[in-house]
Amino acid sequence: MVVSVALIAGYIGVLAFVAVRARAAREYSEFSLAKRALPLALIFGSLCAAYVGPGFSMGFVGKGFKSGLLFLLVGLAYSVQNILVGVLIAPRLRSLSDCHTLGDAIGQKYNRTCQILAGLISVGLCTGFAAVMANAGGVVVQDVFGVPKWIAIILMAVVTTLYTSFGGLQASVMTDALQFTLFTILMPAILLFALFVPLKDGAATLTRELTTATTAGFQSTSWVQIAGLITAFLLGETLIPPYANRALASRTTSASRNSFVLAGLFSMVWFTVMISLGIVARAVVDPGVGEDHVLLELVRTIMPVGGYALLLVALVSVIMSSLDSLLNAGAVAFTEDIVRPVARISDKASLLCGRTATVGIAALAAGAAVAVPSIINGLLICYTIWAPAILPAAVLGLWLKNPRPLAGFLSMTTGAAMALAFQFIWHDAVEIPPILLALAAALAAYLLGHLLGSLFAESR
Amino acid sequence: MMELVTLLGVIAAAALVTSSGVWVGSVLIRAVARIERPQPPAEMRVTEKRLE
Repeated sequence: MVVSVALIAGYIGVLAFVAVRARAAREYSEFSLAKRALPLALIFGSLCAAYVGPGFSMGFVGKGFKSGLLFLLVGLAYSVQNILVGVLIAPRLRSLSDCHTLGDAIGQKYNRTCQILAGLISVGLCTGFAAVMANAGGVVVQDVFGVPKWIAIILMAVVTTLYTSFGGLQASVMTDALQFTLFTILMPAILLFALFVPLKDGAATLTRELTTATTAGFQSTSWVQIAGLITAFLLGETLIPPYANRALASRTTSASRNSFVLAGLFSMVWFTVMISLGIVARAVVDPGVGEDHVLLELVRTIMPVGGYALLLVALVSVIMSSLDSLLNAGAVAFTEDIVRPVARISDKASLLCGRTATVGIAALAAGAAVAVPSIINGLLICYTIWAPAILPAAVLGLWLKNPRPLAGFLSMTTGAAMALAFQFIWHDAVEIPPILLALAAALAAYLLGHLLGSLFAESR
Repeated sequence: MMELVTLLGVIAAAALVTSSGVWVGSVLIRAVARIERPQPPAEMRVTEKRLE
């Protein structure tokens, strides 16, 4: 207990040092885009730290434990998505002038109404994702300090909000880089320790458990479910606000493209390490343990007290780096896409608005965190809403020569409404995953809006 | 043979993950040090420019 608390306190001290060095944002452009001066390595580290949240760490270890390599296949869809975004979308987004958010890009391509709509969806989604992160953070902090979960969630939210609201994107990216460095050294170290120290024949155990778990995983999952999962991982996190902000904040267009491509390649090896940890855990951890607790249980069982404390530090880093990115992106989307299109406010007022929104989103997320189901399921709900609501309008808007505002509006409203309906009301009506149905509806609405918009334009 | 290939694959993935962290960490340290370095006063900067 003392070692754990000392390590966590030391970690928060280093984090505070980096956050203070990143300085408080003095202008809104510093708060929202770090003055577009971030180099490739920091954007890459921050991007990876933002997507490696509890789902891609604790969640993937749990999936490796239950279904072996099945989730590595699913995860590869995410890697492909990152590479495609890097090659096809990030450079186009970065080349837009005076653009702070994805909603801003949508506003430039369509109109102000679409920007506000994109802003509302972005803020809602950032709050949902942040609730999942706060919930996972609560689980870890509760484990360290033995406090009730709601206190753990508040503690996590307060620390993250403090440095994000003052430092803005610069502080978020720099602390992300620190957290990325920490967990990329600690997690592989835990895997190698598990393979070579407690297991007598690590290689044989790994191969045997890999075959057993993977066979069980494919047998217990239908191909329709696999297709739904692959679609969710391929599209669900595409260009979510924190990633779009990083694409926009990079120093150059090539840094923007390369950071996404490298982040995609990194995710492949990261998933391999996480799934391997889950497979190794099968030889040590009781099969009845809940998926989200496999990693904690594995390390608690095999490692000395100091090792367990180090894992907790790694997990707190994983969670905080995702949470701060979401809080900053949500606050910037609120200011840029909801407030500024309606009210002309000064730079100083925008900065204040961004800071206040950071606190507001953190409070909402902490309140909603108790209602989150398992980590992966919580993430899948967010994916199901984001992909149909935003992607057709954003991607087609960036690629088409004359995107029609009606198409953007219809696609976003239909996508969001259908995703919510299929996820929460008609969930069991059909066997097809909700994300696919809602995406098809959003694309059809876009096509209809584009045709009608073109007709109106011609008749004028 | 199969066991060896699996083990080597996992070790290679772990090494790649760690080296990415080391790269980002080294850039971060340089970035923090750059922010830390005190800026010389304006008149010194003018003198430096003249010397250049």
